Amino acid sequence: MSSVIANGQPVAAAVPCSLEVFLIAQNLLPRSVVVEHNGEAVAPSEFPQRQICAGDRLEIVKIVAGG
Amino acid sequence: MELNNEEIRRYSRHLILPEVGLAGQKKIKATRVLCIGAGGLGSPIAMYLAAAGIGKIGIVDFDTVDYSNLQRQILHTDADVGRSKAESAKETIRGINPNCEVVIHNTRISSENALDLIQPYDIVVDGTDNFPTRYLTNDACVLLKKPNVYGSIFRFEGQASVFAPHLGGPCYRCLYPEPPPPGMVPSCAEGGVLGVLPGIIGCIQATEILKLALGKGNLLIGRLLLFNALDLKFRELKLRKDPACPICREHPTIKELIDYETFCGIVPEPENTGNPDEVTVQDMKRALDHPSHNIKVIDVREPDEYEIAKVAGVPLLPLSQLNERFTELDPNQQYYLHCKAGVRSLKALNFLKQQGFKYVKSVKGGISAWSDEIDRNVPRY
Repeated sequence: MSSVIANGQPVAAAVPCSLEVFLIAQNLLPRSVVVEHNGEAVAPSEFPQRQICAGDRLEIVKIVAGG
Repeated sequence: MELNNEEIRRYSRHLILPEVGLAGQKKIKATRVLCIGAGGLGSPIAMYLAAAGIGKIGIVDFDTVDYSNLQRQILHTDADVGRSKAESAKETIRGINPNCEVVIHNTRISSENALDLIQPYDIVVDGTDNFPTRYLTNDACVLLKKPNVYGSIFRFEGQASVFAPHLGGPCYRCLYPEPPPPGMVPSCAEGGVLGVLPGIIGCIQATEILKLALGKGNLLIGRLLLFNALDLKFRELKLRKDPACPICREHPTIKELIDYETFCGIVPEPENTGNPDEVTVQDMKRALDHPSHNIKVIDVREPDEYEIAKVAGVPLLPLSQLNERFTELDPNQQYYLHCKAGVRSLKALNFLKQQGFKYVKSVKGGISAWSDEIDRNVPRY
């Protein structure tokens, strides 16, 4: 299996696949994370179309609500 | 908007900054800020904004001060426990700067009152602690074209941004179009939060408010600033407006405020009371007092929490280990599960039911309710 770099760490993933599929495979809720893909902002509505490939860099942030 | 001699003395370190000066300080004085929530984030925000000379601060909070707030909510003191947070906040702010007009809204912000509450202010700052209020604050700010200075915290991490679609940036829904299912993302009450953390994030929000007031610097618009206190690192993510955003795109599908509790999947209280999967702490006491009833009580919290407070005679089987250890339990035995407040025990119950357990109940309100209603000697944390 190939890998991508998520938050600086290598993560095994069945790439190429869509960002949406990757997030679900990582047990993340796609509507509750903010993602930057290779240094570029990605809007949530683009997750299903956005293809990610081996070696891509992702920054992923989970929603929190505390105040 | 003029400054008197006392104000000129008070703001002298601002007045000598070329980026502020007399003109900037007057702008700060003319700015009206609505602070939603007078808790962890609201505390440093309101205190620094008052000190810096913001002319009018509105405080929305319906809650009262609890002992468990004092570890981080520095607007409130030990003597304020039990008082209205809004009242306590006003007293603290007025103590810092009597020139600051403080308007308190001792009410729960709702779809009915949000637009009226926000309308008289220039900037809104989101210091709330739950998803329905965050979506409500966002939507109301988008509809009224007010900048929404966002911050949120959990455990050792925080996030901040400025949402202002009318200034070309994204809104909260461009990041998070839908809330997570209830119970999926723990609150600070469930997961904990480092005492200083809201101080750091709140101060970032206060900085952005002063920059908005001054019209100076690069705002956190289109950027999400992230802070990790354990690594002591900041990082930043680029954000963009979602062309499909239901509220801030060109032809939005959301044109007025909705029911945010329903949107966030929160079932109203009356329906909650009759959950057949739940028992009360009184039922739990009967089970413990009468072993002949053959009901076993299990604590599904984590070991650290068990060390802080426990009910005598109740063994621990943490939810985090249930996946591997449920085989230690008998699927035909009757169990009552408790956690801190009743959320995780319901999760444990659902898991055990999927594994074929027939007689499992969750104790409503958890050990917190036990402490309140059965045994005050059990510390509430």
